[in-house]
Amino acid sequence: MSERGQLRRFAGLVVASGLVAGLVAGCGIPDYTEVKVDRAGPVSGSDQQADPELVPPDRLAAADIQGFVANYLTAAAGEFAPGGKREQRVRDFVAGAAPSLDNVNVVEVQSIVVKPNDTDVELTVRHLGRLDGQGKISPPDEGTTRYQLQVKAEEDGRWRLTKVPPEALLDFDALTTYYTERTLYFWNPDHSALVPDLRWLPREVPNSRVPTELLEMIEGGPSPWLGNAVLGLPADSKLLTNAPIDNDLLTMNWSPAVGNDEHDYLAQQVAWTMRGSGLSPRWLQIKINGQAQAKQDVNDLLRRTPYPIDAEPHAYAILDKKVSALTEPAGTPAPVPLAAALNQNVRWAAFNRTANGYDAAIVKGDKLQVGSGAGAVTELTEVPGVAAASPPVWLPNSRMGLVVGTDKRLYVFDVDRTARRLAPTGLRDITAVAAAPDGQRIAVIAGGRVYVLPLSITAEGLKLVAPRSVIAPLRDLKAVAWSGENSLSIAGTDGSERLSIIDVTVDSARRTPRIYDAHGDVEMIAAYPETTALGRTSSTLLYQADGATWLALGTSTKLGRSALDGPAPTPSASSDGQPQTEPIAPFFVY
Amino acid sequence: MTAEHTWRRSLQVRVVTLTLVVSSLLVAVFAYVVAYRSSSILLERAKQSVTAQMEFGRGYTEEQLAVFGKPYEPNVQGTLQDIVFYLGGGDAQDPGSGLVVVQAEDVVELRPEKSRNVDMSVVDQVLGPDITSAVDGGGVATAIRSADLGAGQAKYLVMGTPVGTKFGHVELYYIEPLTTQDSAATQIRTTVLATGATLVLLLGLLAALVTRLVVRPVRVAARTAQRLSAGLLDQRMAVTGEDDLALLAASFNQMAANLQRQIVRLEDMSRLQRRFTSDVSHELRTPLTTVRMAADLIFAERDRFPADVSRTAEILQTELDRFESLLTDLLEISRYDAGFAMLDAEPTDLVPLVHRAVEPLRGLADRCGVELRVEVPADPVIADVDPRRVERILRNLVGNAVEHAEHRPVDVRLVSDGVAAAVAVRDRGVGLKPGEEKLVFNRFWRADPSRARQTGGTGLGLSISIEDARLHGGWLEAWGAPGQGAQFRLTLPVRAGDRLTGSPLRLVPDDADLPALTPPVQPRAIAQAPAEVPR
Repeated sequence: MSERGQLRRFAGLVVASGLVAGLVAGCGIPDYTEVKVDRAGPVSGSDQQADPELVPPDRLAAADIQGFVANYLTAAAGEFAPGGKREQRVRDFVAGAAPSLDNVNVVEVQSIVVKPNDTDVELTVRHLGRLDGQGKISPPDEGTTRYQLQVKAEEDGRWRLTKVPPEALLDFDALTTYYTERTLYFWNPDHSALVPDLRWLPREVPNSRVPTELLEMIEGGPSPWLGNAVLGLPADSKLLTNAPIDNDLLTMNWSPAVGNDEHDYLAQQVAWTMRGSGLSPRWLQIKINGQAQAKQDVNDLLRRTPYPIDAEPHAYAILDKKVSALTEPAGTPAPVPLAAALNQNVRWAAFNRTANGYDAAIVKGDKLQVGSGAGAVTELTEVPGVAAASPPVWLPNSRMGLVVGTDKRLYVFDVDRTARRLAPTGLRDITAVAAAPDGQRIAVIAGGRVYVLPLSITAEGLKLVAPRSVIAPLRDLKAVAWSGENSLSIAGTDGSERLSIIDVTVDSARRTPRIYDAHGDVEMIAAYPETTALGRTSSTLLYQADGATWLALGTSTKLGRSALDGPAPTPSASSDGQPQTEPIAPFFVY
Repeated sequence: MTAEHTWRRSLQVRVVTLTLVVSSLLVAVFAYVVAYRSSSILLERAKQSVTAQMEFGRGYTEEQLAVFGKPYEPNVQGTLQDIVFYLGGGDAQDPGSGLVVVQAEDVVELRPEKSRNVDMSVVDQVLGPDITSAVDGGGVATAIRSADLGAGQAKYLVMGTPVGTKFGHVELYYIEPLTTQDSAATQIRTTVLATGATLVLLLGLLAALVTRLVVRPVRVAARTAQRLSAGLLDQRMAVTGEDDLALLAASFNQMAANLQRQIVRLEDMSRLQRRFTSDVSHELRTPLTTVRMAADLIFAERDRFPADVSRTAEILQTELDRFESLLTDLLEISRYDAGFAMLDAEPTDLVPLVHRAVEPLRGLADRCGVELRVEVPADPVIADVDPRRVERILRNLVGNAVEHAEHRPVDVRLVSDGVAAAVAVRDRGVGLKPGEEKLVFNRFWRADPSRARQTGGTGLGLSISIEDARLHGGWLEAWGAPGQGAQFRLTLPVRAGDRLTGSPLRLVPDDADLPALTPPVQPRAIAQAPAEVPR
């Protein structure tokens, strides 16, 4: 009994000490635990099906050599990513070394001639520009217009190119098929206006990534041809992360170099850029190195940005040498902002809306008269030294105007009646001038070609930046106007000898015919441009031809006296006894 | 087994041990609860923190990857890099920091990205297939793994979550070191352990102190009681204070005092009685001597007296002899009572001694018609004895036997086994009734008071004999049965001072007719009591 008791006590002691050791060693943070699933996570969607419309056809798509070569000229369309689908596609077309795809030459294909040996192909093109990874098309630097290609048949019944042009070529039709126009906005140097900058973004970029791509383009700076007319972001500014739009909120994370943006310049620039591309986040938020700034209302930002186009345009024309309001084609007719006493002998007129009234530039004979007034201009003064040979145009916001003189030179004038002759580099025989709606660029016809010129307007006055030629498929150019932020309406004679008006982008890459049936030579064009950022996606174009005003809308429609506001004035006899029956020299005030 | 001995003997050891065991158990349970709770709280905090980070990271990753529709779009890989770089934080290359991994196992175009430069095989090992399959299955998974991610082997909290994208399954993992929590848990555990151990030790010490406080007076009481029982009657306990122990001591002391008083009183009374006996004997001796001398004179001249006077003189002489021997026996007894009896031991051959004791009684035996048979060994039986006392014992025994022999023979046997020597005296007279074998040694006891005396014994013979036997360290025992006579056995150690363990002779004679009621094998009627004499 006692022995067993002893044993029990001893056992108890051992158990107790074991328990102590076990308990103490047992707790603490374990080395290893089983996997514990706390809850279900989010489920990933699948967006794997590719839209075939968005990418160019591959090597196997064409049924004949001509089509094969034509497809090769579209293959370089797509995202500039090293080793990406685009490079693979292009490389697949070529048996040997593929050309570098860092820059792509946008060409207008004129002919693809397959020689009878089914090996040699002669390709004739016209260079329009050079597309880079930022979506910019700069003026062409290639003169070659004729390329000799060689193809060889492959075992699969298709072909490969054994000899290719040394540079990558892209058919400009493919550009409009596989790319979307995007408009970036950059500030002019004194932050008084946003200047549009046209870019091309591949359609294969999903909408969700478009903001990021656009912001990276902004980061990359404006197109070189805009020169010092615009400002890029401060040096070393960098978009640090992707910029998604989530719940109508665009979030972007910039490096500190971008500055603190106290005037919301960046926010406004981005707001316009997003709206210009049809993206409509309601809010945007800038982060600097991850530090979130206040959320900003996009509409508020748009409203606060100075932009010279008013939502409501007023159309006018000149009838019987008097400025009269038109009820068509757009907007509501407004009173003529010129005192009736001065509304005499008017040849051309142009008005500029100012903060509290109008500036007027009236050409009577070849005399240019300017004046300002609230409500209506009541006094006109002649600008000395200018003999006007074209309708004058106002540069919105800057209270300066441009006019072509009878000496085929370009003159700038202002409301203080000073005029100065401008000497755009290398341009002669200027016959027409048009001002872009932002007031920072102009287009001129000089020596039978169209040029766009950015303007640098500073306290010292207006300076012209180097002109850029716009390649239009027209000859015998007569008139030009800005039909959009990035496009010009150009009137001339097309290849089929038709008097046409064609819309061409400032980088020459897109052409949109407007009318083919102009009634006689187009003497002038007046346009109320489209502005995507403000929700206006089409432009309105009036032109003067054959002594009358026409509305260019698919076909030309004459705007007769019935289009004038108020009771039709009684026809009066002209000096030669013939009644002047139609309004001419139309213009918009916006 | 000294430990077991100590355990059984010491209350203090038992109490301290039990206190240590029980308090260790309690402290262990407490320590476990504290350490377990604290470590689980630490772990829970870490989990919450990582969960919050991961939720943020997941939102961020989803937001960043939401812009992509297909995995082969340019810059998806770069975005993954940016994500882990951003989520990994600025100290991304610190080897002790955590690790953020984003991978898309199902998307062939994408490689895993991690926030700092760690061997991918180690990362794969941390993110074992159990975790990745759980996350791949759409769950937010948590586990703890140990690995070396650049800062030595450490514990890591691994959390993974699937990230919703438009192009497939992307998984985000946070591998956060638990170094801080681990060291905190270890510190807490060490502290609790140290505190617990100290507490247990202190409790043991306390128990030892408290039991010592209680046990010491008890030990003192035990020692005092031992001394008291050893005869040191004036031993007392010290009484301090008024507590239970003081009460115990006081009661003990009172008991001891009462006991001492009683014993002293009894001793006094006993001494008084013995003095009285001795004094009376001495005082009687002087007149007896005078009377004796006168009686001797008369007895010598009895022939000159008439016959009846002569007869009276003879009777007087006989009674004086009896009186004298009675007085002698009384003096002898009183010497024993007074403790003055001295053993005068010397090596003696017991064979002639037996003969010397028997021979004077042969006359009496013849007169009684009793055959006296003596059986002794041929060799001398030497023992350290006082021959005078042994002879007196034997004479007494043989006299008694002859007296009660009823004309039947009396046997005297001497046997020795080298250690003890025994002499048995057997008669075949009326015998002893059951119980009388103890009474025969009482002073003045008689089996039948009415029976006529032939030898004129004093009634003190056996009492003196048993005292003589005890003085030798020997035994004197009696056996008897009605009608079968009696046997007395004297057993003496051969060497003086030796302790007896047995006798070479049986107490019950071989020819005894044992009835149903068998006496015990060794009916040591008297011998138990004197076995050990207190010093």
